Amino acid sequence: MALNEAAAVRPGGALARRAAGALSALVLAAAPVSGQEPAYPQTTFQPVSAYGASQNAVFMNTFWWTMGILVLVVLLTLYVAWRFRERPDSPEPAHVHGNVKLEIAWTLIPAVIVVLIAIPTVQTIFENQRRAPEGALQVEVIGHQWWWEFRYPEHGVVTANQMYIPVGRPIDLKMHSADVIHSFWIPRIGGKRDVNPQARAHEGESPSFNHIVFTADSAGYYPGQCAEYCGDSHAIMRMSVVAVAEPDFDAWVAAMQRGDAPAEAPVVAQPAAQLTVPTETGAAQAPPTQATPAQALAAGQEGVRGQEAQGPQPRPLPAPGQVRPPTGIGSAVQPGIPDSIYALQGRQVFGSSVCVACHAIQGTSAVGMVGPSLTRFGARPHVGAGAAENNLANLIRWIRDPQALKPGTLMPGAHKAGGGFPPTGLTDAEIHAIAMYLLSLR
Amino acid sequence: MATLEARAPVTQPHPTKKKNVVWDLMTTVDHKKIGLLYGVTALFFMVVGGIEATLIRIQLAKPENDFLSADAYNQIFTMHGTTMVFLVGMPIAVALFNYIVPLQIGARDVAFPRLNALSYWIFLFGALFMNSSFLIGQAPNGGWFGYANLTSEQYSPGMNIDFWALGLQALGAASIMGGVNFITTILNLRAPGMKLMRMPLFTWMALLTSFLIVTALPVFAVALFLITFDRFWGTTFFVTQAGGDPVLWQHLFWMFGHPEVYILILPAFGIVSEIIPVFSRKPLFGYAVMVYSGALIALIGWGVWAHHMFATGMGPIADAFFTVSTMIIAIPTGVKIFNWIATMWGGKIRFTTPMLYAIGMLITFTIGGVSGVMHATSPHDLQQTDTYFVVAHFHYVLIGGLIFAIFASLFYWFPKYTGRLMSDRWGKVNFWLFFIGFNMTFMPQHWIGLLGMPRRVFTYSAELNLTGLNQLSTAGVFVQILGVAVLFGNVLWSLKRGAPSGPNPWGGATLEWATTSPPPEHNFNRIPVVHTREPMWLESAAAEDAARGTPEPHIHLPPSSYWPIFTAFGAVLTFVLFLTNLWWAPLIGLTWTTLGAINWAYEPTH
Repeated sequence: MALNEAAAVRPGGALARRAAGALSALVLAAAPVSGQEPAYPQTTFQPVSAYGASQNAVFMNTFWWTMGILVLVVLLTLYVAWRFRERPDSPEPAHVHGNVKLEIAWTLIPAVIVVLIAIPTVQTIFENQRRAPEGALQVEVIGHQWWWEFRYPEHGVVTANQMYIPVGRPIDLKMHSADVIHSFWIPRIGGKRDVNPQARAHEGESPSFNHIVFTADSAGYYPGQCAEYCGDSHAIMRMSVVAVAEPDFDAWVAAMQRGDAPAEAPVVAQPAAQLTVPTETGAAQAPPTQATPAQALAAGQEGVRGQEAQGPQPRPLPAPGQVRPPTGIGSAVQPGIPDSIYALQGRQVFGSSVCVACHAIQGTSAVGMVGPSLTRFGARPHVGAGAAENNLANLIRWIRDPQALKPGTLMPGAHKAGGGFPPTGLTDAEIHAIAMYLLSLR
Repeated sequence: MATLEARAPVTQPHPTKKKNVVWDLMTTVDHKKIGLLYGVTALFFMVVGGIEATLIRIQLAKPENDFLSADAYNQIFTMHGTTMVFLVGMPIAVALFNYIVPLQIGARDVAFPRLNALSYWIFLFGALFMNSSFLIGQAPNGGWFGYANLTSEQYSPGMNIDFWALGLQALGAASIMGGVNFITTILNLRAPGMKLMRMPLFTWMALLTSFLIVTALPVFAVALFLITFDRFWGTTFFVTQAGGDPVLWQHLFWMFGHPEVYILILPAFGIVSEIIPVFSRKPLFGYAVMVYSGALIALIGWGVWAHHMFATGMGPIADAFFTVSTMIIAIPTGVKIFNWIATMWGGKIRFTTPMLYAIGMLITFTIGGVSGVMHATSPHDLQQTDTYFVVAHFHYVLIGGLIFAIFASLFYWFPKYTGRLMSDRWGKVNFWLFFIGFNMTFMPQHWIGLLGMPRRVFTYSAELNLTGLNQLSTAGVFVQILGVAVLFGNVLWSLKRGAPSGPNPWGGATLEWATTSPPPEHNFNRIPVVHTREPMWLESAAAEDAARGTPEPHIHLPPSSYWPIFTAFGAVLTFVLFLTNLWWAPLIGLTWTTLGAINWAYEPTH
């Protein structure tokens, strides 16, 4: 329990420690219970790395010292105000101008407390900014307005907005920004670091990066978000770290490396253009739905979000080949056509659409670099870096009009330009098919 | 020539004909009228900033709220911060400096009366200019510290940031002029016998604040020039693609921005140091230490700026340096708090509204100070920075410190401005409403921040589980609004019906209480001679006789002038015309300003 560890830093006996622990729970409302999901997913009080725990520990040290001073000042003020209030028989006060001894005392005592706070603080500063140890997994973090790119040079994997890491192995985040200053903050991992745009290195200089070095102690889903104001949709620049056991991580890497490489897929029944002719109406009012896209293309690929990964499952994995027209998307759907067909059709539409100018999907001809990689997009919990839950209805809304879900986003909609790009001009049937395809990438 | 201007032999204005009030205010160089203009303007902008704050809190009252668009929210939080710092916090302190300092030091006016008027008019026009951006829907939207490179042309192509940079440039110029004026006034125009160590603490803090203003504001001016050059003339100070460095902006901004915090809080310390002794009927405990600790805070305040940048990535050595320097500044601040408590000890405490606010400030400011030390714990500041924990901290310092003190000063000096007392009963109602509402709004924000909510977000996810705390915080705003409404009602009521106060209703110790309420245009009939720190306690007969007795035969006051407002208009016009993007347009404003300056120089002052 982080809070008790923290309290241990404070000088004092076991009793004081226990009292402090109880008080912290009370005062800080953290109420940590080992092994349970925290009530507050972005709490700073339950770090899951030594990096975060060391920060919490110095905080607790400072917290108790300063709280002591605060209580003293408040009680003293109230006592003095009450004790010396004007009464009919109050004597005229003596004109005391000062007291050197007292003043020296209340200069020196805070000075000593400052020293007691400063020593562990400075130690922690240096400890936490050491270089990453040998064998650390380097993840390149690139901030974009308003999404996160994660690159794994060791594995040649690129993903977005959700970072998989192995538990127990040191992680070295090497961070820079593609545009303005962002700040990478996963509270349960530990403190944030600014993600600065790379100033062009002068001759003889190598560019400098900000790093966060940490090791996740336990598997889980740890959400976070950008913490440096970075323009319109700063509030919707969310991401998460999914810490999994080493074998699960390896499985994830393998799946990411394969991506959507061609496999023995069923032959497409109809060419995309001939499938369904939808109208503009209907789909526009698509309510959120729990529709479960088929998994045809992903058949045989086990999701790596194993037991350890505590992340919210956007929806249960459907049985392969399940036939179920999604509700609420109107004429874009013809009854009786399996999800897998839509997904296959979507794959074609996607590959021949403007989408590929910006987006990449590993294993396909889509290699765009401007927007987030969509490899295994169906496994991500959110659309648009936290703009909405990742489900069919939201994904359709997103592709049709992303600005409506996320103000200022650079992605163009079907009928609206965005980020200097013209509208995509995708029809509702195409959007539906693309959404089905993306959700099938799990 | 500073002192010459103020003391130049001029016509004795005892006007018998009734003046046009508006024209009188437009041309006045009387420090008291300018002080009131500053004060009323600042209170007006306090309402504007308060409305912005209310909109922010309404938006955050529930997750995924669509009350405001992202763009509107970003403009409003930027203007809330900018307004509260530059259009409320600073000018309201300047208002008090203007009105009170010359009276406390026994002077007839400030050293440069026309410059004083120029400061006010540039401030007013600059403030109106910056807020006019709302009319075209392009208010500044880069946050009050406008971090580069978000503010560069590439990422902020609209006029939003232009309004911000140009408007603040004008406001900064006004502040620097004010700073020069007060340093000169305090150093040169003190009454005979008022040595530096006999000055009232408020005047001391005004002096220190003025030194901070004239040293810190120019740094900000430089930063603003750089961003203006980048945006208008294609320089690349903050453009990374061309080798510029946005982190430079952070250093420049905070090198100004941290002293700015002390520019805001030292006047509050001064106010509380006046009020607590008067209502405890005891002299300030440890006067010399209070002066030195104030000076030390101002000085060390220059060496802590990068504690705003622990997440920037400066490396462990810089982090350690700024951690320790920041913690050290807590020591002189703590000394002040203990000395205030010691002043009350053994006193005879009257719980008037100003005293309630002063005691409230002691407590709320200490809460803000304590969370400040938590920020200084830099490894954990990486968790705190840019979250609501920081928002809670600086509102405890700026409302709990500065605004509490300002409200205390309003009740304390209102009789001096008007000759009438404010209602004490309604004052107490207002204090408790404001105190409770303030704590209700900002206390929960400590938790909101440490439980994972960043600041400056127009929306948040319900999954954070912070809806309840946010709602409590929003509810508190409405209690505060009620408190402020009672305060304003009290002011309006007391202006007409407040009980007559006489010259010294509280038994104050300093010279402003020697003269009548409100004071005559020339402040004192004769300049008092001072032998002690508390002239109205220890030598009141002489001080009162000088202030209200037989007047000097020749009292010299500067005549009113319309050149300050004329010149100020030209100066701000220059900035406005930059927005046209025509290279020659600002020259019109510049010509106007020059015309004003020349006429100013040749204006007969007698």
